[in-house]
Amino acid sequence: MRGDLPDFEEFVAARQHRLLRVAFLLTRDHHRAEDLLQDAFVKVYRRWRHEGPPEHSEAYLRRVMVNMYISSRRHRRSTEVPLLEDDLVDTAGPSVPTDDRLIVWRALGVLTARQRAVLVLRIYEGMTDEEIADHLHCAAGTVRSLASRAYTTLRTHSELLDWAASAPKEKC
Amino acid sequence: MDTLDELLKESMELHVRQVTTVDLPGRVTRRLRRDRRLRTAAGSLAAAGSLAAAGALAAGVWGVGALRDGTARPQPAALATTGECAGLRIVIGRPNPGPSDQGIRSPLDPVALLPGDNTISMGRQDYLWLEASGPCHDRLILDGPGPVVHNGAGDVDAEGRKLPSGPFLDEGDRSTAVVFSNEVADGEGVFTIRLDAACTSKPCTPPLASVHVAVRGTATSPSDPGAVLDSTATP
Repeated sequence: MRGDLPDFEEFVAARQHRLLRVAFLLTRDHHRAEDLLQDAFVKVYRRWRHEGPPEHSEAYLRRVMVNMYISSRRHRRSTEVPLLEDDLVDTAGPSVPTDDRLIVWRALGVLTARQRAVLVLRIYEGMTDEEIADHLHCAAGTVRSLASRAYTTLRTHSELLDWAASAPKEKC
Repeated sequence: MDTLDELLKESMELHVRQVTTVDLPGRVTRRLRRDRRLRTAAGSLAAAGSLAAAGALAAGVWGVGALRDGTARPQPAALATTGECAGLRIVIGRPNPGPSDQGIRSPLDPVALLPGDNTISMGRQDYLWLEASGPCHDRLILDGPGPVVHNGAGDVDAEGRKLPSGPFLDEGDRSTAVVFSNEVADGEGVFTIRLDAACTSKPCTPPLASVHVAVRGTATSPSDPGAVLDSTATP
């Protein structure tokens, strides 16, 4: 790639940090996130080389990445192991998550790939349901349905319920 | 936005702070090179009739990396001992079926190429990996392979024909190349290692090394890394 397609190199350099974060939120694993984004870049490169840069390159790459993630999860069918609390304490440095954030993060791990993708795109990327639908090749209604089921799963997640029950009630 | 959304957003933003910068352009580059080489190698094996090997190679099932048993890589003799390339070393061997190391292959049980003439034995439809390190490793050309043995990772021209010569692939601190013996019958061939350019018109300057290849015997399979291999410098 180096020296081959300079505009693609610039594209990788400019977009990698932002998209690696999205990949991390999807995979919840740093190494898997790097692999996922790398595979997505390679896939985009092949089209780029033959047809030139796609319109809305970043959106195209994100769409490729999200669909590769969903597809890989479908094929792998592995059970994710939630991050241990110690992992986060080791890596997060001074910003150790408070309990509620940690519980929510672990609860995200029980969602299906499509449900998690919807939440990440909606909440972290700030995308509309129509934009997400375009990414996932489905109808906006399906996105809303996936989001609804994701929220239901999260709200009924035992750890979240326990936390909500024990959390101090805010006074209005 | 309700409380759960806010909590999710906070949690996501907090956790992505763990994400550190990586050399993704470098990784993508290495991956593209590996894919290209695997496709080329698979195509060559398929053309030679070794479809099972081609399929396995295309699938990348052998992986790559350091020596499988974890021992230190032997330090080969220098191919060039004087001049700007003094200390350049090239080893040749079967592709390492060991664990992946960023997609880069390395020779298994390598033998060193020596300055001047070398002789190597290969089975039919076999392939061998070359790895260069040290000064000038990124300027090497695998030149002049013929029908008996050819440059497996060589470039193709605009019409898709395989070019007889091609540069080693730069992998950073080393460069690699692969040669194939595609003959279905026994035969002999030769290729040379040159600096910067192939020999396109006679007389040519002496190459860094010439490798005479004797193709003998039953075709070997890449899944059976026990091919006859020796490298002998011929004065």
